[in-house]
Amino acid sequence: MDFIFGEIAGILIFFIGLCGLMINKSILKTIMSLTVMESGIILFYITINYSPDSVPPIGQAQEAAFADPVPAALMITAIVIGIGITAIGLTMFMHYKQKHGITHWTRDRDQQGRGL
Amino acid sequence: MFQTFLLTGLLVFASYAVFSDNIKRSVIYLGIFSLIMTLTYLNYNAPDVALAEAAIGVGISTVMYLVATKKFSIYDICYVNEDVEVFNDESISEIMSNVVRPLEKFLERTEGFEPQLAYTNHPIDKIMREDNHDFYIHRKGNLTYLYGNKSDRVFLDIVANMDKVIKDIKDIRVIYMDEVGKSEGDE
Amino acid sequence: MKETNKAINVIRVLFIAVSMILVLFHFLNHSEKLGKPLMDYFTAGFLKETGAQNAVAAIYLDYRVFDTLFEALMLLVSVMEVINVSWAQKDVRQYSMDKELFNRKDNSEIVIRMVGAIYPFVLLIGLYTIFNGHISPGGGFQGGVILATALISRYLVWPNSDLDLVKLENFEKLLFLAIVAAPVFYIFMKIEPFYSLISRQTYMIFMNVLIGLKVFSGLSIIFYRFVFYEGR
Repeated sequence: MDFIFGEIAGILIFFIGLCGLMINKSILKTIMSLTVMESGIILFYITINYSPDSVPPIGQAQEAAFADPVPAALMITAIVIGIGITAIGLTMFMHYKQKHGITHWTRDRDQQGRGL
Repeated sequence: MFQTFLLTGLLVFASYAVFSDNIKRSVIYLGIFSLIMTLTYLNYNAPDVALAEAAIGVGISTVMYLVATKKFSIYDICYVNEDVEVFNDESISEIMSNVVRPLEKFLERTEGFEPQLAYTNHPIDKIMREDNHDFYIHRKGNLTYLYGNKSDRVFLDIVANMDKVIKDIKDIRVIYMDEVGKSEGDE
Repeated sequence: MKETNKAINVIRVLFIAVSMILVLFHFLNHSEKLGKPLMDYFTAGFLKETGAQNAVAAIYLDYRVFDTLFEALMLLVSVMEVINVSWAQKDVRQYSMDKELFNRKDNSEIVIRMVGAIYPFVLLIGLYTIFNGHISPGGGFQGGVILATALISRYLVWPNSDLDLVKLENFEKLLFLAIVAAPVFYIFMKIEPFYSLISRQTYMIFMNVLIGLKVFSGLSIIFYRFVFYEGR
């Protein structure tokens, strides 16, 4: 029944975000795609060492094994840095829009093939 | 089983958020994606990360995207000028003060929209055949043509208030694309 | 802009598909299973060694405290970058809503009253998350973000820039100095008044409060710059 695991879902979400990053022309959609890619990486890290019969690593209950606390501690910092990246991206987008009046990466139809 | 349900929902909402056409819908799909991601972390025994994701991904990030899209709600406009050879910043800032800025101010004041502009110098027929914009401004010599649909409420509003919106340009012709051939009068 | 250059889009999708299949193939067939030495080391006696009942808090406040230091530095750099980029308007754009408080088009009275009722509870949950970070899920980052959410709900009710952002920035820099100084004195140099569980837990609560206040002030500076200094 379990045909999809956490790691596989993380890799698939990462590539969905990468696909959106390459195909979308709108700058806002690009920032969203970056967020999706980052979520995929975090999901991969969280589920990399998961065993189904573990408990959250809190307290002293020793009858069951703890879940791995190391990737959780790393990924909390990754999430907080991610909101900083999103804020910088949105600020730069709004500034660029106000200065040049452009919301897409491509301005001229000749350059549309280059994308990104 | 529950885990499979969560992961499938993650994939579905990630695809919706990335490939959706409407930006506001995309923001909301991203919020739902973060919410399912919170449940997934909780399912994988990482409650600290789940709490951080719930506070950041669902709360602050969605609010920031909504503020950004509220300041720039999208109304799709294409500006065509076949005489200009290359569009650079100078030729954009040349039309910025008398066409684009008043249009933006009018749209934002009355409709709550923010126009999204594309500049090009290709022939208008090709663009109208291939692309799908809401509103075209076509500059040809001294004349300015506006193309739009008669069913579009925003376009009708712009045409009705034309003398307040664009003051500097006198020769403006309005063409409804629904009933091509019936060009309306001058401004 | 609904333009498509079909061939290039097809090439992009093919590139994505091929690389995804490649990564999945390598992951499913050749992934090496690492052992769990780090996890065994960290979960062996973290209550006795650090005084925290939450293993995650024990890791990011004691075992791997460098992560927290550089994360705080990253947040500080991101705040500076947001301030640096948003120089479109030098003056704050204020709304004039002193007189017609309930007559603005955007703010409904329902939102104002309900946010006013919820506001103290959001503050309470944020402070709870900060102060109980070492014995329950939570900690400085999460609590700080929840406090910043409370400030955002304050913006919904009262969209007026009466917050002194310069003081908040200086406060954040001082907090960063304190965050750097506390682990250096306590963990690296082992200066402890008396070695016991109480001392360790006091250190945990102190660090969580510092990190929470720093994240709160950083995110609120980002949000207020974002709202008032950009756009029209």
